Amino acid sequence: MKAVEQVEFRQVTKVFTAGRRTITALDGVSFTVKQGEFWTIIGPSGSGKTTLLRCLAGFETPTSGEILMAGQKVTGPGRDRMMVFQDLAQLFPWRTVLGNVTFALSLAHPEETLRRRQELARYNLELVGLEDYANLYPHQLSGGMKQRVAIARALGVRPQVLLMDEPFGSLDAITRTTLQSELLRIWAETKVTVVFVTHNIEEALVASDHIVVLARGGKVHALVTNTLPRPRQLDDPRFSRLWQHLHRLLEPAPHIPEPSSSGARGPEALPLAKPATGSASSP
Amino acid sequence: MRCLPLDLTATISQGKRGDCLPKYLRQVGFLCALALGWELVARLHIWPELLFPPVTSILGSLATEFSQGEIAGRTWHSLSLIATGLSLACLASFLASALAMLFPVLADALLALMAVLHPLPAIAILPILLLWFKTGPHSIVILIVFSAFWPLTASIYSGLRSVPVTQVEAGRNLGLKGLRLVWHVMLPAALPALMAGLRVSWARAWQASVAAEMVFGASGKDGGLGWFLYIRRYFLEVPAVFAGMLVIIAIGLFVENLLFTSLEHHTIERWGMSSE
Repeated sequence: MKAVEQVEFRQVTKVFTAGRRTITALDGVSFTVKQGEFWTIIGPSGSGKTTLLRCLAGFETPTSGEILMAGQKVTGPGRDRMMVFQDLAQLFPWRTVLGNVTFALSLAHPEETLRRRQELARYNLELVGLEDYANLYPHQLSGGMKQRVAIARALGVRPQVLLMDEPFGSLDAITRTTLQSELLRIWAETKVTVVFVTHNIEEALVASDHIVVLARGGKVHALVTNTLPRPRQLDDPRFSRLWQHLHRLLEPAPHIPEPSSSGARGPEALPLAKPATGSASSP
Repeated sequence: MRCLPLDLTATISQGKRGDCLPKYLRQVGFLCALALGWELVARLHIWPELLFPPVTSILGSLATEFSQGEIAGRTWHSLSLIATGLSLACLASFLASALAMLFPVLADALLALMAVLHPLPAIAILPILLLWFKTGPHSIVILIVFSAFWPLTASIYSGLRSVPVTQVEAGRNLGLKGLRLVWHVMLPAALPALMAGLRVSWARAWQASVAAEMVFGASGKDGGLGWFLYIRRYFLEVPAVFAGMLVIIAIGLFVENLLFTSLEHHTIERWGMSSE
């Protein structure tokens, strides 16, 4: 299969202004995702991972630079890039599991008949293993099931790229592991391109072909290509070597105390003051 | 320590004694006792029977009014005005809050208007309505719209503003924007606030319409319950006045406890949205 360039980040910079303060969330980010690849964006908190994904989704506009989607500049949200959020409240609570998926389908494929849309919705629910829960409402589901529905809803639209913003971040460790392998199975079945944000090195290594390591301040620290054979084995020595490598990349820079912060000055001032009073009373 | 276990059993047995009758039965019992007391006081003839009629004659008057069909007609008249007014208010509130959500300039204007006009009791604009629209059902409907619009708009607007961001973004991701986004995502998500606003608006509208009819009584024949109370007072048919009040209470209870409660039961409670 000849891989086609699908997502292209060209020197993307995003600066947020809050009052007089400016915060650089992304700083000259460039990389290219080819069709069918699994990309992971990893970085410490505050490194702009989510901003990167939200720019690609079209919820944020880059301050400079551009994002191309199949050669076209991204200017706003679109059904070719479906997002799965971390927030468990992303489903519409007034629609059933099936209703959430068919609603998305009715917007994405209005030309299909109602029956066909129902079939498609059921197919997508089967894909995430929730065909027996079609008539439940979101509030009756566990967190993991909600995220499965969100994945089914996003895939039902048949996007070119699936965007996932720490989708398993609010789940317990066991559910998380299950959903990771389910996602890999779905990815293999649907051949959809995935851009996945996480701060979990293991999650990144198990899933991805390519890893973008972001540093604080939103600069690309490293682009790591993960060529380990699938399915990835956690006890593979190559896996742990790559894990160590990523871990080092993600290590925070040596800690430099901030001189201007009042909290840091307090404890330093204390030992100076104490001997002074002690020596005054001793003679 | 003091005799803690004993205290505990005491509270438990007390709680059990209280629970042997359901709450609503106890409340009904209290109301029956109140009616009985009323009847006894009225029978003592401390006050003239003309002004303080016994419960039995109030109920008798209620029965005659119903059999003659007058009170039913009046009730229907009041309810149809309320239904018209509330529907118009809902439509106007939805449009106003949706536009305010879409255009920040309009939001400022709406909030300013709301700050000025919401504290004004609806009945206070009646004199102006009478001058502008003359007496008749038009004025009452406008009064109802006015009384319901502000509380409804306040709650719909604040409800729309507190819709979970991810639901809105999920909607935008699916290609919804503008009024379609408001209609398909934000309005259903704001339903708990909308329901609360509807309850308040209904109460305000009901009060305003009864009050308005008492002030000028529309055009005699096709007046509503307020007019009924007013005209019976005029002819000193005090049991009929109380009968009219009973009907107003009954409608209030019906709408509050049956209509709204079952509406909520089938929507926001079913969807797990009522705890928000």
